[in-house]
Amino acid sequence: MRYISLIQGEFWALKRNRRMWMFILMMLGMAAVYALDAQDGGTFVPVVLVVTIYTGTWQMTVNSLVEEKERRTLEALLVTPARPLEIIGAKATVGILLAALLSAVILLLFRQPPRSPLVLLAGLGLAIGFATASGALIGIVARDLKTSSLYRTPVLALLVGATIVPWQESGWAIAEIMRWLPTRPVQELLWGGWTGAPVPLTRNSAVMLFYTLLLLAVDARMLRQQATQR
Amino acid sequence: MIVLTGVTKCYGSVTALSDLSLEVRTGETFGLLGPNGAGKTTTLRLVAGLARPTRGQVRVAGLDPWQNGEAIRRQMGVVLEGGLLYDGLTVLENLVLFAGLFGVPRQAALDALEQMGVADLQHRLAGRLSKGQRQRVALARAILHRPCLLYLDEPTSGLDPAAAAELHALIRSLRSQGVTILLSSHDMAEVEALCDRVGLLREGRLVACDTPARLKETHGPSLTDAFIRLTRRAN
Repeated sequence: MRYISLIQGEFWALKRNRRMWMFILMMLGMAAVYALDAQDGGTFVPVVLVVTIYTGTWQMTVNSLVEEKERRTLEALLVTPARPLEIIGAKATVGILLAALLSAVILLLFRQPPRSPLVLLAGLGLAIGFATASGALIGIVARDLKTSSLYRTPVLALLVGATIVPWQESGWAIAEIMRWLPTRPVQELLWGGWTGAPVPLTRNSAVMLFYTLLLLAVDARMLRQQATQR
Repeated sequence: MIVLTGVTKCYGSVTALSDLSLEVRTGETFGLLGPNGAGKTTTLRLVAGLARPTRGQVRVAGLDPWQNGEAIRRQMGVVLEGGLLYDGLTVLENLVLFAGLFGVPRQAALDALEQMGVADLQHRLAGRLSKGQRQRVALARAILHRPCLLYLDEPTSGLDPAAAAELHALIRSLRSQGVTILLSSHDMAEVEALCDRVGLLREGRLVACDTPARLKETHGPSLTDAFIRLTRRAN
């Protein structure tokens, strides 16, 4: 009940968030223009999916948490029976739903089915989960919008950049290192899911799940500390 | 209703509260006064179960708030300084969100708005309310689940005298319904008008606890003088 109420509150806020609507329209517009023009979205579809997920889900989670802190509305929430994890979970859920919906619309715009739908679905889910968990960490660590903007943009650029680089074309050592970081696995899953190229699904999923769960554990610990040790 | 016994709260090397013993009786309006940094917010956090005392014991309605934080917060209404409403939501949305968090029906939100005389503002964005309207809405949000304990932090800060008087009347009506009120304020006239007893904190210690009339007699002539004398001694 509390969780549903928090999600409802997030949707009410989203409804009037002009910045987010501009972002959604921009991403869909870009995808629509390219879909009309291109016969095969081979490279473009995975790139636009990565950019949409990381900028949308990630930014939304960061902004939502930091704005709550800056306006002190988080304090008002913390003196209700709502638990810190429910608060962060509701924010993450809305980001996840938005990213999933946008990804689905973008795929529909290209009017061609992915070659390996399950691999693509796994890539999307893992990317969204990782973006949410890492966005929440930045939101928890940042004190306000001003300080968060100092490291928000570089971290986001690093995440997106490192995910869309074709690491398999790099030297052996770099390509191998990137296999174990939360960038190349997402890249392989999304590109492989769209084009049908073979992908080590289990290993890539395990790597992404490890980082996502680790970040979620850190998020929960830090949020609990902030709620009780101020 | 609230009993603090020998409570000390440290944040690292900083001692926010030191050996604080205090009792707030059921149904009374208790003023918690003190300069900034005296430990008022820490006291609220301990009472709400958001912080754990380093030493000593806190009991709210006989329960340990740290162990039973959720149950305590379910019985508590809080109005923090500035109202802290969601500016991007309408007044009704702000209240319905909190009604959901306290597990009460939507009708409770409408009733609370009616009780605070702001039902006509329900479709207005909270960001477009005047200060007085914000405080009334914040008070409506704090009482929608019919709490038995209400914490008010600077409830009339920045309000014009007419709006402040109206809010005082609303607070008195809540007190007459048996709600225990813990009031934190820097407005001595407000404290004198509303509080049955007053506790004065200085550097995390309780330096005085009595009725406003007795504090004036002992440290007066006015409550402001008493406040200045009792807090100046530390400097």
